[in-house]
Amino acid sequence: MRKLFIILVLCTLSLAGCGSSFEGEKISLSSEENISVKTDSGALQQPDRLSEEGVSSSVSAGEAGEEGQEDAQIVCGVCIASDQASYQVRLQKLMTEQAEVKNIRILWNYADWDPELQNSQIENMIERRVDALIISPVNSKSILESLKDASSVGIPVINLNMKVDAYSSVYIDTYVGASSSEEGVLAAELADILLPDGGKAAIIEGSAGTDPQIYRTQAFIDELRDKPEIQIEEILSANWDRKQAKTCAEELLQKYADLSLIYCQDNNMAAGAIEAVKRSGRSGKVYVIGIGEADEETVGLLKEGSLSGFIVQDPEFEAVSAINSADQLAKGRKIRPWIKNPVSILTADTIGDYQKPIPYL
Amino acid sequence: MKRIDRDNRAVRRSRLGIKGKILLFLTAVIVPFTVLISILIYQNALRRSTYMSVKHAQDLVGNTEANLTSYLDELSLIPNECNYNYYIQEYLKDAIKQGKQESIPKDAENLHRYEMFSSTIETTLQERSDTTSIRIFGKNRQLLAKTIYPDEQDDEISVRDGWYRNAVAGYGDVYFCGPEDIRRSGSTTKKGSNLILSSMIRDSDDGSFLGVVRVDFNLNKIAEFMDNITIEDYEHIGLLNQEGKLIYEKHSGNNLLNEKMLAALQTCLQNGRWKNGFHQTELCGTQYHIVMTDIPMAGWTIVDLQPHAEIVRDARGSSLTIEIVVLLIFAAILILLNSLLNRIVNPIVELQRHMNMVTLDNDMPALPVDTQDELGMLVYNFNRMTNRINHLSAQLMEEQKKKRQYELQALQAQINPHFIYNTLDSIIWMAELQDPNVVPMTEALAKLMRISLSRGREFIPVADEMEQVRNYLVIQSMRYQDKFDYSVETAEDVRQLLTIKLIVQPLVENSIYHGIKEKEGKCHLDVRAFREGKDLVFLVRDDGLGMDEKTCASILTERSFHDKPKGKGNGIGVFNVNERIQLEYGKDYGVSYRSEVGKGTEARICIPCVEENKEVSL
Repeated sequence: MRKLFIILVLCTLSLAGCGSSFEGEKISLSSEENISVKTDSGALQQPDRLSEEGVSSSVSAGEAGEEGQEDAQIVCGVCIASDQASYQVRLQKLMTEQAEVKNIRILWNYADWDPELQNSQIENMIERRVDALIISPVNSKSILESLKDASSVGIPVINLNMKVDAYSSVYIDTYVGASSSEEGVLAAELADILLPDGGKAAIIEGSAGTDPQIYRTQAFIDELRDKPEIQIEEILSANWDRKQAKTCAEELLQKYADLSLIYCQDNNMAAGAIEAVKRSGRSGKVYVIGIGEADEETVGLLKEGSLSGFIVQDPEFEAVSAINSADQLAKGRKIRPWIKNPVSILTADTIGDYQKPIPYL
Repeated sequence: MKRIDRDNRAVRRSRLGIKGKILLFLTAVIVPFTVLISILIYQNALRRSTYMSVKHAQDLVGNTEANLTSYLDELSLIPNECNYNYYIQEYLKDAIKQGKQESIPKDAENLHRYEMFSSTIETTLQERSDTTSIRIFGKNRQLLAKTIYPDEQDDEISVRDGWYRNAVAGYGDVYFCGPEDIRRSGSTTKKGSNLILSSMIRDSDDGSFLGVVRVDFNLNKIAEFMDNITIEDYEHIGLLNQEGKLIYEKHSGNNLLNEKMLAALQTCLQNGRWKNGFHQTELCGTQYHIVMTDIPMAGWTIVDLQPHAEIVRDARGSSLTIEIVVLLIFAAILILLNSLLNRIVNPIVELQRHMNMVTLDNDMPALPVDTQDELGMLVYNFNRMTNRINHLSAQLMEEQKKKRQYELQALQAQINPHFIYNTLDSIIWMAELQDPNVVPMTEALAKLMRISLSRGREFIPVADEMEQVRNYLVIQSMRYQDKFDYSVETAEDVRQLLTIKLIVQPLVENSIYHGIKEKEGKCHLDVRAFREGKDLVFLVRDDGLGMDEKTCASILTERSFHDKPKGKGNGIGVFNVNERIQLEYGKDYGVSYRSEVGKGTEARICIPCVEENKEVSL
């Protein structure tokens, strides 16, 4: 009898135990309340997009002020591909100047052409909840996941200089930079002007996998498809490096005795190629063309005649537009998807008329 | 006995026994307890299955939402690409510059750009199973570009078209609309399977309007996501567009989202009270568990519907087993308790019944002792007590009998002094007259006295008893001369048998005083002793007055009939003789009378034949 009673009591207790364990999970069943079991849906939600330009929703202006000054200084994370590549170095310098003008604090990250490093740098910036991200990707496809993460927490992303690929571009707010295709097209036009009778051409490319490397070549080839008299003999990569470009050019000069044109994907590499051409003593026979800023050295080479022409792409436009865009986006404004850096052909004849493009805003 | 039974029954009817009380009490405790536990279990099960179903729905909806969002992201790269494509930008700028009204590019450069971008788009279109056409419309809503294999559709667009207006208003954001009916020329329209994605293309130089790109896509991919979902039989998951129209749905045969339901759901969604998450609400008269999630980029909503009743049924199913087990446990407890109580109560009932039967009239057999516990001791002690009572009552009976016997013996031993006086008086009178009979008379008296005493023995041979009667008759016949004749006969085979002494003489005395003395004329008195079967019979017959039946019957029943000695007889009386015989030999034996008025009386004593030297015992 007593045993039975004890069993009964135990049964009751165990049942009551079950009861309380359910209650631990706490489901509120009232119709209007959300259930407290959380899914990850929050993380998947898109940041509040603005339907109209200029309407502010100040995504994280307040909370991102981690260093918390009174004037809520905008903090912008900048992740650029390298602190060595000349164009990237120029952009860094110009952005620093513009950031001072706009009173934006910049957190610098240099990926040193390492996609993994760049991803971790972007993730780090996202964790610090910067107000805007300016990214110049080392590879057009490598940063998709990081971009999604930034997009999911509502950090605006400015893609600078080297465009991400089509899939990744869904998650950027704007791209500030030139059209590499256009540059390729213009380079082809320039080649056509320089070689009206045709000839052999070679390409020295920048770092593989970047948007300029891909499209400056592809558009160039596409454009020249209609002009079979210009033959593209070889494509070499010099990783945006002057010395490597010089070595490549030496190799090309040695290989092709009748080489007429070397198309370098930036002016830095063009300068290297020019050195090689000069040394080989084939100046005037081999045209060198490049792409990039109309800086002192380039203009000098152009005037000297060793650089036959180049596609001018102004870093100041990009740097200033990027910082201005970051400023706008951090304030919750909406800007157009592509702030295109206008490019054009510059030759010794047209250099005098060159005017720098006016940056965005 | 009967009365006690009746009392017991009354007690049983009005009050429950110990077992009944305990069982009733326990049932009274257990039933609410069971009900309480059942309710608790059911509520827990309901909570649990609600939790599970909501969790399931949220996982489902969450996954679907994630899948669809990344899918729509992927889709939106098509209009996005238009924004970043140099050739499209250049082509559209040209087209706008030339005020283009038609889709065919005019100059070579334009054509080249058209080619370049359409090849990009074309590849996309061919690679994707879901996109059916990509078209770009200009400022005046004219078609500027289209893929080579568009679905057969109107290229004319109307001012009212939402996709165009919303794309322009969205300033570069993608806008989803549909489903729309696909109009096919000449054939039937296929209903609601065409979705539209549109976005404004902005000039990369100054952000100005270049055109609107429209991508038509079908449900292939969405169906792929949704069809891979595993849902419950009663569940319904639906994808609704901004207007609450159904884009796609999945259910296992049980269509919950009929048009009425859709309308109700639409109202709920549009009044804005509902946020993402779980809602329990009534739609069209049925309770539903609804889990919903927005896909913000498209303005779509994923809705998961589960009827509350099904979840309740689930809960019932899962709680039923536990409830049955609990009930079975309690039933088992009651049954076990019942048998346990039976083992306690049944011996008590048995004991009580036994007690009821205990009277002083009969002996009680002992109850079997089954157990060594308290009850066993009780029964054992009760047995001892009844045993003692039996013993005492037997003792008492014995003593009573003895006492009676002594009394009778004492009475018997007395010879009525009156009789002796009368006899002696007669003897004196006869002596004076010198009657020769004085000697036999005195001799008879002497013999009478001797047999009467018979050395204190109670049992004497039949011959002695008959001799006593003879002596008595000798005396009486002399006293009442010429009043009667007599004969005394003793069968040879009974002479040596034993009998209680002085049982025949009182009957003879009775006959003389009541039958013969009062009658005129001479009477006969016969006394005989003989064997009749196993019995020894004394017969005293006279032809005196006789008795009527009533008197005859009363002789043996009324102690007082002749008991009041009026100086006649020896005072023993027939009644006492009968009692003595019965005390000694049992109820089967005794005195019986047969008499007829005017004819005579016959008294008969019947006792068993007992040989000498054998003590009579009962």
